[in-house]
Amino acid sequence: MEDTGQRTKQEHHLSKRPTLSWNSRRGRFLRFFLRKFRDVAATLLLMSLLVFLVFYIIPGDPITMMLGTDARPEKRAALEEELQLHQPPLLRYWHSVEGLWNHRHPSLSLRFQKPVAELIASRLGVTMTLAILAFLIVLILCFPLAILASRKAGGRLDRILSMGTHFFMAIPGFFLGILLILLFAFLLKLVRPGYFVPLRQGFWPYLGSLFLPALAVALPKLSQAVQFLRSSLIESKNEDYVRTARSKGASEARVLFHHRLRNSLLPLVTTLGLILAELMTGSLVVEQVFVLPGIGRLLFTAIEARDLPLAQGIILTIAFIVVMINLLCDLISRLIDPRLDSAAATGGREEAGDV
Amino acid sequence: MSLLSVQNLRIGFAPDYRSILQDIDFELDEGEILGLCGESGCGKSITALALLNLLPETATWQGQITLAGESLEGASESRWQALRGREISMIFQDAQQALNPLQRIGVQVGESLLIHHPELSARERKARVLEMLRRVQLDSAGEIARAFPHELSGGQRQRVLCAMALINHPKILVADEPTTALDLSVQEKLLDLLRSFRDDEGLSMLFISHDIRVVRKFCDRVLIYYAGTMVEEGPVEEVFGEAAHPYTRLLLQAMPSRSPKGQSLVEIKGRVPASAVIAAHHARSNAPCIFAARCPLATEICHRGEPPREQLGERHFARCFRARELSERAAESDCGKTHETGEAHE
Amino acid sequence: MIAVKRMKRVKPMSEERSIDLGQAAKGTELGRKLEPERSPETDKSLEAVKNAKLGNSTELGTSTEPTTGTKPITASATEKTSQEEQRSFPVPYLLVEDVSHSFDRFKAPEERQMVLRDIDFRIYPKQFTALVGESGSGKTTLARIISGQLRPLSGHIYLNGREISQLTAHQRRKARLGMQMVFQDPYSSLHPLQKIGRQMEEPLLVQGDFSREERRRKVEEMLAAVGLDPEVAERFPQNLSGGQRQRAAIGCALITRPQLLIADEPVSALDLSVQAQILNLFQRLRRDFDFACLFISHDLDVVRYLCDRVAVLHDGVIVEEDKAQRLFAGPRHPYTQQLLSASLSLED
Repeated sequence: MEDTGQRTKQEHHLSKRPTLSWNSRRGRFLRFFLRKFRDVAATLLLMSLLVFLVFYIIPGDPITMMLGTDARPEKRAALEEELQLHQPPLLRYWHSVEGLWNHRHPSLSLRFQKPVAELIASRLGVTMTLAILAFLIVLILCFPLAILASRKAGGRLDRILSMGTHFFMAIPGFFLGILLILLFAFLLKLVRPGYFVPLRQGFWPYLGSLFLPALAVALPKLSQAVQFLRSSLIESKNEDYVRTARSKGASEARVLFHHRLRNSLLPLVTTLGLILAELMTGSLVVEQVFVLPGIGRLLFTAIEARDLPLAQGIILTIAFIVVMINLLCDLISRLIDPRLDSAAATGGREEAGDV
Repeated sequence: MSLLSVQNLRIGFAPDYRSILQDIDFELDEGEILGLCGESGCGKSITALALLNLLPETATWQGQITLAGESLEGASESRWQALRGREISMIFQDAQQALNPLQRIGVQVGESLLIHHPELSARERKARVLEMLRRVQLDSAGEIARAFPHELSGGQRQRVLCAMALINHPKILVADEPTTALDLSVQEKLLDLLRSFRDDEGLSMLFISHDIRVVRKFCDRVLIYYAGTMVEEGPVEEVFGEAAHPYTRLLLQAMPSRSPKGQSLVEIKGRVPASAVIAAHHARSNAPCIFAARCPLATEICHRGEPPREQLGERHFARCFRARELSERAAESDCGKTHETGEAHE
Repeated sequence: MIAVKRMKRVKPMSEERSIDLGQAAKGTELGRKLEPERSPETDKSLEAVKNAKLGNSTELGTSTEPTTGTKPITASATEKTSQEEQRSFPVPYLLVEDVSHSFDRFKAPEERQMVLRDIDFRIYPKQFTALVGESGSGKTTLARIISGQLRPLSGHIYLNGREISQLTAHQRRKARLGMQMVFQDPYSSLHPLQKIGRQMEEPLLVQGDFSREERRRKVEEMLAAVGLDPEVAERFPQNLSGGQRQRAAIGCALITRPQLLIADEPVSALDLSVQAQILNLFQRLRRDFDFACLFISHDLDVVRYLCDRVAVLHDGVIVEEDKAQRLFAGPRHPYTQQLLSASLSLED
């Protein structure tokens, strides 16, 4: 109770009749999709240009990387001819992008002399499986942990969980990987260290070999999600509509699931989307520690070798995936929160405020 | 026997739980509209929340609350949950914040039914929700039920709150400043609506407002709060017509309508004490009258001990040493004259 | 550097008194528009035209309370300004002429939803005019247009003889030095991270050249004038009560001695006892500082107590505008009558 000498202010709202015709809702979605498509295309285009520019600017070139600095000029020229590096930059740029889907004239990796698309495809599966596995761990565990932690903020369980999340967020990724290997492979003797099983040798062994790296990647992200959801839930306790629900006689469980959790989903969706995108881009560190043939390592190799076509291919693929994830998040957000819909429709100009 | 009886209610907040609100006693009869009037920080909202045991975790309350003969002191949370929304309901001031922004109106109103009448089918629930929306004069009930809170106007939202609170036909409605954020004409319609519930179904109400004018128009009896204490109570005509407590008198005179244009309004010197001060005051064993510091009519006795609860009419009481004396004297002119130039330095 | 030099030469407008406006305005656009020696016949025909225009437009729009489409009632030009007013203040300080506004600026004219329609009114120096209306009536939009936050779709605003609504933002800022605003919510209208003294000083910095000593003196004077202790200058807004905050906000607004104060529901968020204090403060300041005020409020009791004239806004149109006494004694427009009956029933 505050001594403020006043009461809360008047609110004046523009009287609106409910806007509910189906047509306008569908129409809005359509416009939304078109806008998003345009944004995706623009983002990818910009990204490809930037990659090319960077490669153009940074010192070093693929020839030197391959032949060493002492190579004789004739050898260099010959290699250049073979790798088609004498072509004008614009053409090289265009080919590095277009060659990704051109079957007859595919973009070749300078380093590996194999079609970029093929290289990516062989490695992408591993990274994506790893990412999905890690994401599932995050998704499944963050809710119960956050709910437990928020029950009694500051209580013992909360404090323990808090320490845990801070620990996993602070620890360097590779070190966590090593610790996990130590724990599970050597101490508990549950898995075989550094032994990747490719998919063709069996689905479950494949998954099994990816489990530990997934855990290494997931734990820090899980901590992030739990912290976020926990504070969201704690805040929700004081919301007015929660009080209203209680005043109707709702049980704590009902209040939690139907009101607090649901309403906390919106910001969580965005966070989870970010996490998934990060996971998809491939954790280089984890792939190194666990010796996995993933995209992260490939990208690293490509950059080291100044292999523009390969790098371009990988980065565009990753960018595409991330953009798609963001789009999905956006869609889900709009489904969850009806307010976002109408705000976009009116262009956000008119607020429901004083007139 | 009254429907709701509150005795010795005191409420304290963490960390020390010293009483911010103290010695609250009142009764609510069937079909009665009881007003609770007071300025900010006086404790009216927390009184309301205590009646539904909805105080925040940082607060505790003590005292006896008896609802329809059942004592609720020490009642379990599940007992409270059975009562809330069924026997006693609440509506709030800020209707927009009080509604879940992500759920449709129909769902929210139907939730009350779902909780207390799980035996109803979805179709029956829907029918009742629509019926209730029409009852609260939201005519395009179907559209409103499908709408989200942000699509409605303030007046409509407030009516939705009423529908939610009254759909199970509770005996008591606690209304915490429901009209404050509304325009005058909308306000009037809402009050008419609430009155119709009282007339048709015998609904009893605890109506909280800081606006004396609304309370006078709408309520049967009124409780006047000051700094966590009930300083006067009684039928509206008596309390506002022949106010016995100086604070009530001053409030009435402070209204702009009471002073002719050009003349200074009557001011109350000083400010309402802060919660910490109130708590300290209540903790003292022989504290003086809490209003004495600001009271223009305070005499020595007022500073020495707690004023008794004087009876001035059949149901009219005031906590003041000079209450009887004042009610016998002519009128408001006494209070008024001493405070015309009110230059309040804060 | 150049800006500073220029400021030195320009005398702050608010230091001038408006008494000789009549002379000054004669040459301006405004002066030409307002010639007290108009014949009653031209007045009548002007009124007829205006009423006809307004009469048509009241049929549009979505009003929640169905008005019977009667013409808005405005006192005729000669009634508006009594003889004394005309003699001493022939020129209004603020003239709002034919202002219309819609947020659908970019839509076709037929599709626009008009928030304000053909608003006409004036505020004379030292006069307290109330703007009364419900939510959605457009009163806040009108306040924002007058104060320069919005540019009206059409129409003109004259401040002290100068047209200000169609100026660029920069020009507007300079021209509006004679006008200040006080808002409803004392919580959010003051800067939470600045001390009160600093906030009160800021308008002085904008207005002109005052030495630090002069500024400090003025702030002290103003604090005393609004009933605050001098030490409040060192405090932050969150350490003050609502009433104190509102006093501070009023102080900030009046420190440059503006001739027009726009007060948007300044007492609505305050408790009754604090409201009384602030209203008394308004009365006192009015006497001491001589400013005109556009007082926006929905509370008719407050309006009746404080204001000289009342303009009733309904659905973007001023449906009645008159001397406060006359309007309360006998409202002529059905909407005004409705408003009054809703509030009178709260009365004795």
